[in-house]
Amino acid sequence: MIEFSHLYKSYDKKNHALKDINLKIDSGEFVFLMGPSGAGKSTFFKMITAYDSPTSGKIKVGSFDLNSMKEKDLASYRRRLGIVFQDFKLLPDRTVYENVSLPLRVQKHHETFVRKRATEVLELVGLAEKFDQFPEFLSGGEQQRTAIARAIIHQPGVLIADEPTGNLDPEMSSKIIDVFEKVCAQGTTVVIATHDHELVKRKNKKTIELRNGSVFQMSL
Amino acid sequence: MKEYKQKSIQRVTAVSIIGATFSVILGFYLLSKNISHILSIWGEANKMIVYLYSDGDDELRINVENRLKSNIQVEKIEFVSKEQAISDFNAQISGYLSGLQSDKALLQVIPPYFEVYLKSEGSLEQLNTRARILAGEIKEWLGVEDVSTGSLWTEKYSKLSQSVNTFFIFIGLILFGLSFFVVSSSIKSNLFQRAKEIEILEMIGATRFYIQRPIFIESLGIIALAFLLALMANSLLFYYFNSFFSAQLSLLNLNQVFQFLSVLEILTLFLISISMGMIVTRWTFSRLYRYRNT
Repeated sequence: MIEFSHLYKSYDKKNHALKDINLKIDSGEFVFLMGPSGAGKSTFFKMITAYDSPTSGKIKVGSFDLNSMKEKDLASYRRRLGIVFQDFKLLPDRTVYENVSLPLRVQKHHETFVRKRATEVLELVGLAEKFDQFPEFLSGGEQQRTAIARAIIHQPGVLIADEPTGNLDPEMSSKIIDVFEKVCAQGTTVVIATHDHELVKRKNKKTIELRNGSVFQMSL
Repeated sequence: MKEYKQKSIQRVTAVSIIGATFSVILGFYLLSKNISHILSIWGEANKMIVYLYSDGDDELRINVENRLKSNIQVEKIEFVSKEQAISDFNAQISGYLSGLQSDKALLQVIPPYFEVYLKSEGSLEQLNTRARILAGEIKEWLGVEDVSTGSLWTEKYSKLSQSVNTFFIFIGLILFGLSFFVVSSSIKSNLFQRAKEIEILEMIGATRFYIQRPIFIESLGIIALAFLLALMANSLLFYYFNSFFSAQLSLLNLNQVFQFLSVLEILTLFLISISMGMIVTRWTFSRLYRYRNT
């Protein structure tokens, strides 16, 4: 469960990146986060990932109260998240396999298990044959799918994705959303930021629309 | 791959820069150590001359000799009789002032004397002070006309040695500060280039220990390798100069005087370098986190 309560975030005194956000996303829910550029979607994600802290208000994710979370609990909290960054954030000096397996390595899983899971998720996103490639030799779409595979390999409690289908063709977009739905079906809360109205309409999921840092509308 | 190559180039650059800095410092330390050593060896020839009365008898001479031998500060003594002293004087002076050799009255004034070699324990200053005090005591003995400690020379020598040591310490401190700066810059550059990697690892739940451990190991590896390279470079230079002095200036026997770093010194310098690396890496991490939070 993700819960925002009277949350404000401002980087200067005049402008609020987020204004009085009150919302609740239940466990296992699939949510689209919409809004134009500058609406506050990235700040919203920064709040959930605890990359940044709110100016005021409360934010709770599962059993973690992010307002009072200590430095030592941060790593433990983030291990329950799966994040797909808009700019992918792949390590350029590591292969696809090494990038994808990072979350499991950080959690010190056994190599056999890591390899098995990496193979599974790479097959799921259609990148099994790119196992030993370096990111610079992948197309934008392949890099994005690598980032997606990395975000789901450890079966996170919450999956957040910033424009995960932005570089993909409609067919691949649809496949990727199917992957997210499968992940969601296993109990993961999925929050996806997207501009793709067609996709949102087609999937008919809960939608939160942000405008100028506030929740403009929320639909089931 | 490109990134991998860049990282390798960065590491090689860091090893080269830090290695060159350590080479200069080790070389300087080696130089200062050997110069101080040579100065202390030359300063060891600390002797005093105890002049006896020209007309003194054997009993007085034996008395003075026994008292000198029993003094704990005295290493050894050599007696030069009046005849020997005159003969030595003649030998030294004949080439310059031959007329003096026939001046019986003057030669008669030349006294017998003891060359007293003092034990060279402690610093040159301590040696000088002890020699001055001892000379003052000996002057009061019966049968002793005068005592020469050569103190003017040894004092000047001691001051020179002291100045050289102070100079080396001063330059050493500057070089140490410089090496701190160079190590810090190299590690900082290496670490800040990995800021993106650190951020990604943090976002996927890596602990600070998990993130910092390989970077610490890498930094210390770079420093250890740089130190070894500096040690090798200095060993080669030392070998070269030793051979050079052995071949070109064998009379001075400098090759027998020169000393390389002892195992203890190498270990100490290595530990200082590693500690410096750890402090600098820790400090750079703090700066990186501070920089990101602003």
